[in-house]
Amino acid sequence: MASELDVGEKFALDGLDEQRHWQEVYREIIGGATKGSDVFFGHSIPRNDVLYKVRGRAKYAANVTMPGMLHGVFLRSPHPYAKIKRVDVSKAKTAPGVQCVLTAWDVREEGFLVGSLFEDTPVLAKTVVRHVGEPVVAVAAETLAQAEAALDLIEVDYEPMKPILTPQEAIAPGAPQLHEQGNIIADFTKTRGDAEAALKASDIVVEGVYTNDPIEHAYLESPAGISFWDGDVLTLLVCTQYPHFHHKQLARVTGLPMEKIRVVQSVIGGAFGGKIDVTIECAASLMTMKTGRPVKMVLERNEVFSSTTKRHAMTIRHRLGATKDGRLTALDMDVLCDGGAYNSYSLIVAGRCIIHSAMPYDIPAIKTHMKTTFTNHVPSGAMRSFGVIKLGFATESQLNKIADQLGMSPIEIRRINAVKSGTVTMTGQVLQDVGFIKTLDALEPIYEARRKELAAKPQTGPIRTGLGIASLGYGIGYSGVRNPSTARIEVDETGLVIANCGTPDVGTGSDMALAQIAADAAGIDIARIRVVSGDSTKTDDSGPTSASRTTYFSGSAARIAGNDFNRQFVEALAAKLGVSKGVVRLNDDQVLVNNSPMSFEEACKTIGSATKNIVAYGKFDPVNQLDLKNFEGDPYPTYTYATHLAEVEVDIETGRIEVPNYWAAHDAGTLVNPMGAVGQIEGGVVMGLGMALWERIVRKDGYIQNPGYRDYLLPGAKDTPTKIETIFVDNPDPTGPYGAKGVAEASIIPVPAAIAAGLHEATGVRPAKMPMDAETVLDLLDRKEAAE
Amino acid sequence: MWSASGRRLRASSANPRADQVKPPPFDYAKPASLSEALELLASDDDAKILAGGQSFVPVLNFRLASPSLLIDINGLAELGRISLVDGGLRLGAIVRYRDLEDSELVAAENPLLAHALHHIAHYQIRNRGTVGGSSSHADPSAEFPAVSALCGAEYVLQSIRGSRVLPADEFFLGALTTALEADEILTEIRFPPWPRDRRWAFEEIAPRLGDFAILGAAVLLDPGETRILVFGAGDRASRLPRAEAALRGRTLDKAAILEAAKLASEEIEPQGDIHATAEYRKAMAEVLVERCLERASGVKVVA
Ligand SMILES: Cc1cc2nc3c(=O)[nH]c(=O)nc-3n(C[C@H](O)[C@H](O)[C@H](O)COP(=O)(O)OP(=O)(O)OC[C@H]3O[C@@H](n4cnc5c(N)ncnc54)[C@H](O)[C@@H]3O)c2cc1C
Repeated sequence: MASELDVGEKFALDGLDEQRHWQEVYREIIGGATKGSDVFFGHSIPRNDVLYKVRGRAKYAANVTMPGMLHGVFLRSPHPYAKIKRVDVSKAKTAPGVQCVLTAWDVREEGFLVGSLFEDTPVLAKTVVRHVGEPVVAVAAETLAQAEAALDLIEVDYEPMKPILTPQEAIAPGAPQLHEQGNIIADFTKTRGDAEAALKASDIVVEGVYTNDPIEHAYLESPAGISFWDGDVLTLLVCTQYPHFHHKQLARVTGLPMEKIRVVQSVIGGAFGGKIDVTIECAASLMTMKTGRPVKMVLERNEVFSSTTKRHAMTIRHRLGATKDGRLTALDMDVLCDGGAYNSYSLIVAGRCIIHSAMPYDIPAIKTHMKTTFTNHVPSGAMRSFGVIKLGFATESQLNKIADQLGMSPIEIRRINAVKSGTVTMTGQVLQDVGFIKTLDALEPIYEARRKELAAKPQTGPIRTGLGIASLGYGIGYSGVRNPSTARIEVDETGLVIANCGTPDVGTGSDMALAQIAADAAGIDIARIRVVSGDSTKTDDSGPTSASRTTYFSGSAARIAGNDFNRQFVEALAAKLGVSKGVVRLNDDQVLVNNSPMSFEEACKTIGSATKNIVAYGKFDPVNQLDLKNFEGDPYPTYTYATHLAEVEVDIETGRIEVPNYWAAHDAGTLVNPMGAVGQIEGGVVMGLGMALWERIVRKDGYIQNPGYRDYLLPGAKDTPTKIETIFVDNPDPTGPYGAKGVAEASIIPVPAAIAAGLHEATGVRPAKMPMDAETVLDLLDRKEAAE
Repeated sequence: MWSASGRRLRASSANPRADQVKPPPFDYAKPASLSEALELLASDDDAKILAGGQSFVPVLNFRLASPSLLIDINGLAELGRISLVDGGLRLGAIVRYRDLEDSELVAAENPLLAHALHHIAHYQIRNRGTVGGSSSHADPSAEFPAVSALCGAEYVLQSIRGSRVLPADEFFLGALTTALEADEILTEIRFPPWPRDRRWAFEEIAPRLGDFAILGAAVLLDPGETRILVFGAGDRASRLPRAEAALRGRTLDKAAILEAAKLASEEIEPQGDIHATAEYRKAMAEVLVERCLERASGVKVVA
């Protein structure tokens, strides 16, 4: 195990031996994908992890077994809010097979509270439980059944208290305070000009209240990990978006020095922001320390539903004003948001939402306010777009309303109000290289042509058809804080190149993109490069893989490191051969010394043990600073933009919506790997469709009513559009690696608003609530009919 | 690993890693004949039949049932036949949906059934699921039991005590409840002959394609008789006597259709659940019954 981990091999179930053969297969695939070109950047090179995944050979944490391994499980709170009076584990401790029963009293004081942004979440609850599903006791036993059986022997006396179930209740006078900090997680306001006066002066003002149900990330693989001693290093193999975070946290929780801990990301089956907080990491590690044995923990799906973070439920009050020629004048937005029982990423979601209030439009007067509170629901946290999808639903719907009232094309009104290069945003940032209007231009002819086609079709029977447009603008990277990425490239005497990249691949194929960038910058064949990412001891902390930042941040770092590698390699070879470095070149995987060629392997052999001294380093750290109090500054180094077009079919008697065709035009800078980018957009569209039409966590009195995929409805293959067409506009970003920027996350944002707009064009009703399930839509249609 | 004989494999030997699988431990037998299966079933009060496993395996995996013995009837070729007897379609209990989809006999002798199949789950499930399993499981939203009830099919039940034949409305007793005794196996479902001049329609609404129905409806138009049925609205699929009565002796015109549809909605008492309220189900009964009558009769109600 340890030796495999050393070379960062995380893919194949049977390790290196199994991988070798596939590496050969893969070499041929790469050759095919890049034929006739001397660069790797910009080519649709298939990811190497799929070789293992489609064969069912990928080594997910749940598949890992080790000699002497114990199975760990949690006892969880059955109450939304209760005092813990007594925890008695004596019977469980002596139950068959049980090796460890861990309670809050076994966790050292300094490590008792953990959390991503704030340390507010007990590793195990001690005096109070704040949501159903909160872990209270952990048990490790020889078998899973023994561990589960032991849970039944634990006695916990609770004194249930009246839970707070809505943010309204949380801010009501006299409400019980869920945390020392009170019930407020975030309370942000930003103003630009005098929005109230500007609204008064507007020719037209539209109002709306937009809501959504919380939703689940719905990654295929449930959180899982295995902790073990590797010599005297406590090692944790876990599916996470951020190994370095867990590394630091475990140091505090366990009391071990940093160098005695290692966190390695296992192959990961999806994340979407849901694998960024603590789940099993602390409990498993502590149980390994207590027993000296490997401990594996794999969450059951109902635990995933009841205990991991959710997308925030928000209520957005929205007023948008415009002149009669369609120029936006003012925005007033007020958001109330359910943060759940602990902080998680709520603060970041709130900050990003404030910054994105007007995006992607240039609005002169703005007042935006967002309040997030604690409640006794499972914590809300990070999820694809950090809350902006809900703002998009509100703002884009409002804009479409104005366009309709003014008799304007939804494309035209966006063009009039679009941010452009040189636009100064609400935070005072001067935008550069904005490709938003290009996305409108790209969709307009498709939109017009499809309109004509649909208009020519007679609308008979209960099916109505409509087209809907919505757009997005989304900041790349963390909001308003420095968030550097680094990369280190090394080579050995045999010519194996290892690129250590800080941000892990969470299933998006980012390792591939980084390899493409590094290979081009270093001047070597991509097949030589093995990307090692997601190992907390092999790379610098480069932040999590989130916020669409990996290609742009880590890609830039990989490019700098690649260039540095080329320079160091040439110098090392020149020194060894005793020639001036001016006569040595490394290009297209070819080494030239005084114009005579030498293979890369030969060159590495020649350099010999001095290859150890080649340690190329790249760091990308754009200066981004935002005053989080006044929201003044440059929050992101760059932004991505898009416009989507949805064709919607509605059955007006049942309310059922189908989306047969979908178009997405994106400004993603230059594409590193078009195949990967298209995959990300299509995935985002389908995920957005789920949120728009089906997905919702149903809660009652603090309990989730549909904690499984039987009743939590995800779109399946048959429910997705027959056609999703992705268009990338030509708009290189000079600040990104070879002109690239992020794309993945944002593609979800406009989907619900585009579908809502299509529904409106088809039927005249305007949904303001997600999901727009059949019953909700029929209700709207009935009410419209009754009003007429 | 499991023999095809009726030998009972003990949980321990059949599954040495019982701890690492989802279902609780059980013994397993795969009898080679129906009589052997009936003997086994009679010999153990806690034995259960395993057909396609598409409903029962999830039940086991969630540990909602812990039978002592699973009797796998998938090897009983005698229960796998599709045939025509006295003009009526006969389906052995382990006939799979997929077999029905592929059968020209079914397409000719019960086009309603052939059509309804496409609403059942996904092809992966149709490859395994059986008509006997679906009937024995008796989900109120399931399509096959609904079609059999509308057509007036008969259910053949066998045990070592003998056999009996029950009409569908005596076989289905409620949600997940049938007349099957613990020692009985459902062996065959017999449909009455399909009249040549019969017209029919089937409609259903589900949250996503392939989901169990929020509500479904089906009608049969025979000279002198109209049958109307909804499923997903109560504890089992049922015909709607008031709506049917409203059409008796009447020409099926627009007014008649609208009236019957309205009655259909009024006479059901559906439950609300996480996927739809009772009111929505009532509203859908009206829409779907109207659509069925419209489609079957060819009368245009909505322009
Ligand atoms: C994701 C999913 C979606 C589905 N969607 C639908 C749908 O839309 N519509 C629908 O109708 N169904 C649906 N189903 C259920 C499916 O149709 C099942 O196949 C069916 O309900 C059970 O048939 P089976 O052969 O798999 O029975 P099994 O699961 O093997 O058995 C079901 C029950 O019947 C008993 N049993 C089986 N055969 C006999 C017999 N001959 N005599 C006595 N008892 C017997 C078993 O002991 C068990 O209790 C779905 C299933 C899944 C997993």
